[in-house]
Amino acid sequence: MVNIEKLTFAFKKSQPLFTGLDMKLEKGNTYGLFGLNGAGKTTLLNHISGMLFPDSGICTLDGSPVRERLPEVLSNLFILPEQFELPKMDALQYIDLFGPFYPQFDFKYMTDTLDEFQVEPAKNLTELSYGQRKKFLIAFALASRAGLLLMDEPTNGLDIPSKSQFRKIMAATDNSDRCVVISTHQVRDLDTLIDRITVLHDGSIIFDQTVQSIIEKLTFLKLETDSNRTNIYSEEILGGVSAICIREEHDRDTQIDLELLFNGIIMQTKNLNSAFQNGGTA
Amino acid sequence: MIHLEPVNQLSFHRLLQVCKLTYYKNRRQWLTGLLAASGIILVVWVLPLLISGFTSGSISGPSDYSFAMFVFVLWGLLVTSDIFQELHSPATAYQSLTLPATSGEKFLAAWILTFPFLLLVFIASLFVISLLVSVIYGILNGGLSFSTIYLPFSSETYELTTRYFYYNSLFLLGAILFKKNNFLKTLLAIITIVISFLFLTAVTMFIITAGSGVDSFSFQLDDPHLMDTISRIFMFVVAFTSLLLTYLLLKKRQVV
Repeated sequence: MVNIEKLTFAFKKSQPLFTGLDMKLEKGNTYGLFGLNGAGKTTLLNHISGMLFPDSGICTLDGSPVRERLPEVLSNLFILPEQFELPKMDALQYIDLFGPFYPQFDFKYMTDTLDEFQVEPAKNLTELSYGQRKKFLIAFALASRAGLLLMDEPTNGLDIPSKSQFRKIMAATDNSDRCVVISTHQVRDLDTLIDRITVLHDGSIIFDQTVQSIIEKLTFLKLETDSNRTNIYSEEILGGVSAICIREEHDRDTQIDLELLFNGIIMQTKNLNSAFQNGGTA
Repeated sequence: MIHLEPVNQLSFHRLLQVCKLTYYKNRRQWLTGLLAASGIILVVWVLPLLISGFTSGSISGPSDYSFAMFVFVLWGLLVTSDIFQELHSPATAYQSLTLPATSGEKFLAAWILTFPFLLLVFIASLFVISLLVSVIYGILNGGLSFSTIYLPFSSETYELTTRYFYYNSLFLLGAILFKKNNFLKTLLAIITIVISFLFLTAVTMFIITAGSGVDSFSFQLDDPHLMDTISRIFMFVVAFTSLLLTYLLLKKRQVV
């Protein structure tokens, strides 16, 4: 669906952010895009949405270069920025004005989601709290039925019940015909929604695996300090270590510890990737 | 709810929707400006009556609309300067940059709203205000006189249209070119360009005439209409170039 080839980009010529980045995003997946601060996650989303142009290389959506910002392409993508402002109008007016640009916009879904999020449609959008505005835009993004949904820190600014509502709504939404990219630092909020983990570091994708393959290849264990089990990466915890190990035959499925995995990817990139390449020998 | 076909060519229905969207986003601010401009004009036109203590029978209302036109054009140019404001902030730029419409439609919507639409508002407002003032004067003078009512189909309207077209195109370019204080920056840019042009012309003339023994240089055209025609052609060339540049800059615009 999205194809990025040899993307090179720099805000300052002396400090390139991406140097020949290659990436593919497929329909039917929900990608968790992770990276340290300044890794370029937001910049990458801006490139995918056509809001930024690469210095060289190309980014296409269904074969069309996004930088041309053609209506056919733009009507099939929606970006939810981390920082955003909404115009001074009520929710219904916003829907009436922006909704027609998305050919598959689902008005009923929109109102139902607003109801679920407890956002009053009659209230002026500028009078809503940041969290309420974010919920409104999330509802609009989902109701647009755009094939590509880019979400930059969608749970930032949401209170605990709202985060849970967000997870519930996302889980209930049929994304089989859509590609969702969620860029976030708050891994615990979204670990149940993501089915592919992509890590951006030093201007390139250093890890890109499905949740299923991670479960098949790795196991996340709490080991005693004197345990003999070889691990790829570990962090000390009270009474032992929290470790990422190569999954062995007798191991049961474990829940992915996204924080540990992310730290492991950053610290032990080669070892972790090799676990997926050579049948699990780190 | 209507659904617009996502065709990549210019679509009339989509253009209308972009116009509607842009209008709704700005309407409160525009209305406030319009009311302020109308208020200023009304006060200035009724001022002679206030000064004369509502007694002068000789005062019959405004006969010159240049002040009113200046105020409306000023308001129009302020509106024009602000039309691409959302593109200059990352928090709002996404709304316009990712809106599924062509750059041409986004540009045309901005131009239609700030030129033909605002011009119609100017003319209608001018007509209404002049009518109101004439009625006030007529009541006080003991008889209605409609001779001072602004006529929309007049040479003044034609002059207003051409001049506003020219300035609007320059301020539309300034709206996309400058990030903040677009109106003042555009005004400053125009003044700088004009001064530079005059200075360069003077320097060129000096170089041409230096050493040739010619003390003064004059340029005269026999046909008085020719100079007017040349200046109008120049005006339109500059205006169309500005509009083209605005479109190209809008097309190449990125989030900042």
